[in-house]
Amino acid sequence: MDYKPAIGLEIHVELLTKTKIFCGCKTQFGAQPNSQLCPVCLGLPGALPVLNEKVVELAVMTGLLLNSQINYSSGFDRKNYFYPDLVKGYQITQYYSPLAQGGYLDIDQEGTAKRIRINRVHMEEDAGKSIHLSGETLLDYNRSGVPLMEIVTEPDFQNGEEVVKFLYKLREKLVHANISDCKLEEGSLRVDVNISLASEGEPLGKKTEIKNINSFKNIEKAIICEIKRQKSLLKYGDEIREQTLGFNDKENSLIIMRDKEITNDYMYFPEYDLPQLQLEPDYIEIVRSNLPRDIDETKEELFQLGIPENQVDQILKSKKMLQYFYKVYANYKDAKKIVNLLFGDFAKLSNEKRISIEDIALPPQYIAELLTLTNQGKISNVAMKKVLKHMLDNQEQCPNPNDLIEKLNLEQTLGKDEIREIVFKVLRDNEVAVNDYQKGKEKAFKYLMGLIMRDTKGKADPQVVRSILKDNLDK
Amino acid sequence: MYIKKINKMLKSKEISCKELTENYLKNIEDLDSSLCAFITITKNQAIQKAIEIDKKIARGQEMGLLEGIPMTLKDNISTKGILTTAASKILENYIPPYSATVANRLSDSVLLGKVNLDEFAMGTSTETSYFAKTKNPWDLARVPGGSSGGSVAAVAAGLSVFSLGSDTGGSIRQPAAFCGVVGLKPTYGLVSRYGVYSLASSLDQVGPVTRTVEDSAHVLSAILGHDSMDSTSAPIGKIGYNRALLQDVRGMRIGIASELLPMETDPEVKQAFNRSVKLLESLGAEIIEVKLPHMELGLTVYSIIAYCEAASNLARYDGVRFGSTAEGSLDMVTETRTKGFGQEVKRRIMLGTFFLQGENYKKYYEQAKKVQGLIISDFQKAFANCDCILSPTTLDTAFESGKETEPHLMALNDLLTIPVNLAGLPAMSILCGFNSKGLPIGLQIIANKYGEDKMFTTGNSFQIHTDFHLQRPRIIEGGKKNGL
Repeated sequence: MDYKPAIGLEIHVELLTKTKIFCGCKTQFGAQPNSQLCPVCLGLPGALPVLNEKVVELAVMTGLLLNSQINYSSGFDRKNYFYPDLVKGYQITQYYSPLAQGGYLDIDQEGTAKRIRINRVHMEEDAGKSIHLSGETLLDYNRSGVPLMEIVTEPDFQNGEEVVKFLYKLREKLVHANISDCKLEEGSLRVDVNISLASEGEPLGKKTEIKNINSFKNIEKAIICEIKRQKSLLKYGDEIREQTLGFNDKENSLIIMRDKEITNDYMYFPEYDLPQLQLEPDYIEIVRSNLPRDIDETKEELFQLGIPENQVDQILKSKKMLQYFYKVYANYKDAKKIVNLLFGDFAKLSNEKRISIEDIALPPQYIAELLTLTNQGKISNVAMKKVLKHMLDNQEQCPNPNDLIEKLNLEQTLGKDEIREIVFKVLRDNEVAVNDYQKGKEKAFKYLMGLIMRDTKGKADPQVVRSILKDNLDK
Repeated sequence: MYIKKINKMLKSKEISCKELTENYLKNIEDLDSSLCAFITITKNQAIQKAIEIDKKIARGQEMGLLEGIPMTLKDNISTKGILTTAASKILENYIPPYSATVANRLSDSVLLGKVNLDEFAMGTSTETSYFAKTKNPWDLARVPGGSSGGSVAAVAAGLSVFSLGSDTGGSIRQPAAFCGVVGLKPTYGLVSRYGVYSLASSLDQVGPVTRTVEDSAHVLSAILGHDSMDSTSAPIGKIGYNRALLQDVRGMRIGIASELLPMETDPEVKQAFNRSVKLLESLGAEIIEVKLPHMELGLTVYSIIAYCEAASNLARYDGVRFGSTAEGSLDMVTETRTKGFGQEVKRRIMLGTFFLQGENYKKYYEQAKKVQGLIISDFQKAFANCDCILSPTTLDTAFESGKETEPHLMALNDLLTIPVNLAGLPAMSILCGFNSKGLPIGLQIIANKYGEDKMFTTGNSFQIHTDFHLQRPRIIEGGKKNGL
């Protein structure tokens, strides 16, 4: 019997809004427990929800990015169940009429595009956090009411590799558009994996759900594990029970968390405290026009500028970096050199100062200026590093590179004549090396260059030195 | 004492706000032990407020119409720092950290206390309150009606110039009829529900309880209007009803529906109703027959919809964040709710849960919503031909307390009021007569959405030409000495 896996995902994404979905409380991660609360998100008697417009905007953006159909009319419903971290005894979600339906995201499978279909995108509120200790449970309600977006895919995935590719791509799109920071470790991205097997022509078998996986790697591992487990059960004629499973990454095994055969009845019915959400076509077009440029387009453009793939990926990891790059590029048209500087010397210096490269506070025009001066030969590479360090050390004062070059006396001021003098001197004093070079030893050239550069104390343009030296040696 | 009169007296310093407040507090002290209308008497805060008002008057500052007027709030309306119990054991120690919008909009008035109700506003007699059973001031052996029994009893007995109640299926109007006061349920969405304990989110409204129609208009003006904290509140600014109060009923088209005058209606109630209709006709109103064919389904539809919403709205009372918590038990939530809720509340939660589960959702809930649509369209068709629809408020007058009545028979007390909530329409009950036992009879005036002005014109005309509202209940014979 040949079984083909059918895998679908239920993804929860925490939206990057300043305030919660139904009240004005802050959504800041890591705040003092129970410090970001009000009657609404605490579910006090008489409190009522008021929809945060920004949440709608981000959800519509997501629907557009996923090529979904945005429903002009959508509504909210109550999902009723008891749990101490669910303050009202129900969660406000969109069950009967979600904000967006359909859509797709293509992933790259060995050169061809595989289409993963989206079932729906909807808005809902998060519950508080339960922290289980031995003997007691602590409740932090800061997370209660944080806006979530649920993205459900069709069971179009066939293996863990496809799932991970999809998740990377989805994360890239959502981060790039400032919709979420999608951090699996922080819980701003949560992925539930549904897996079932079917043999050719047969309907899908019973599905199991794997939750609480904390890394993309483990998602892939868990899927491999579960497919294996289901296949082996079927081989021996055992039935597959609808269960909720967790993944133990240390043992590379699955743990049964809940048996879902007895399903919860959530008694979904409309949320009458919130009116039907009506969106105008104009509104959707405005949101569409505010979407950042498609990330694939941006990628292509960066490639065209000559930036290698791994550096393109690095820039795209951070919206700030991308914007910074473009600002520098506006004043200095060598993309490769910019990127090399940012991820090379600049990154090194930043690390030393323990500043994140994302928190660059230096004006991009100054970086462009630095690169221009170096390119023109006015300063050497070494000098440029010195200037950069100074600029970083004195970020608040925001020193102008030109001023610094003057102040630190770093200009490559030596003219050709002065350089020639130094070259003659070095050649005179190092006959052995000169003979070695003429005998064909290339290393000798480097040696002589080193000596000359040292003597010029960084004030000579290495290109000029090189050509003068070569001329003289070849005579 | 009516609002305008008191306002005049305060402005002219004929009486100080402190003295006025103290008089009311004294009456409460004298009468409430028999009446049991109050859950919390906010004596100190009331006097503090009164002193503030007097200072303001002394400074010659502008005075609002409701400023300094002694009033009460039903105990399911949040008041910051003041116990708000919903007449339930589960909230017997709950002090809200915020006030309802309606409470804030009346912050210039003098809050005398929080008044009694059926537990969580579920009931028609105020007998399900955890604290006490409020009595009817006209006959202490009878119920005041419910669930806003405390509000109407306090106003009828002169212990509160006005009160705010809440109405989901008739909880302001039915007790208003039983106690001979004016009880108004506004159009759904006209008054903010923020801070009011939800029973059925799609039906609940807060409204004024007063002695006169004019006072009702003044209070409604003060509390209505858009509230950004309530997504269901209508985008309406301020509305004044002075013009409506000056108009008469000439040319007013009044609809009468046989469906709202069922066989079970008590003959004396029917008589009073017919007399009222005749009076309005003699004043120039045109009486038109209208049809409301689906009214009899109202009770069933209401029971399903209201109970389902209530079951969900009461899920938050689990003892985890507030409310009484059972100690040292295996399942804290179950124990808290079992011990904290009364019988009627439990019954409705169970039924509401039942109607929402599995197949029942389609069978009961969705069906009920469809029939609700029919009731709404009945009213729409009727209002195409008339300005107001009149009916008795209740089938009968106040019944004796302590009667063990089957829940479905108790529900009949709301038979004539329920359809109004299902359609989101405004309605008002006014006193239109007494039966041979001296018990008040209520006349219900229903208008189309945002037709409160028409209700005020009709009701006010009626009161100008009658003197029923001038009569006082037996209980305050003794209280008269305090200048009521």
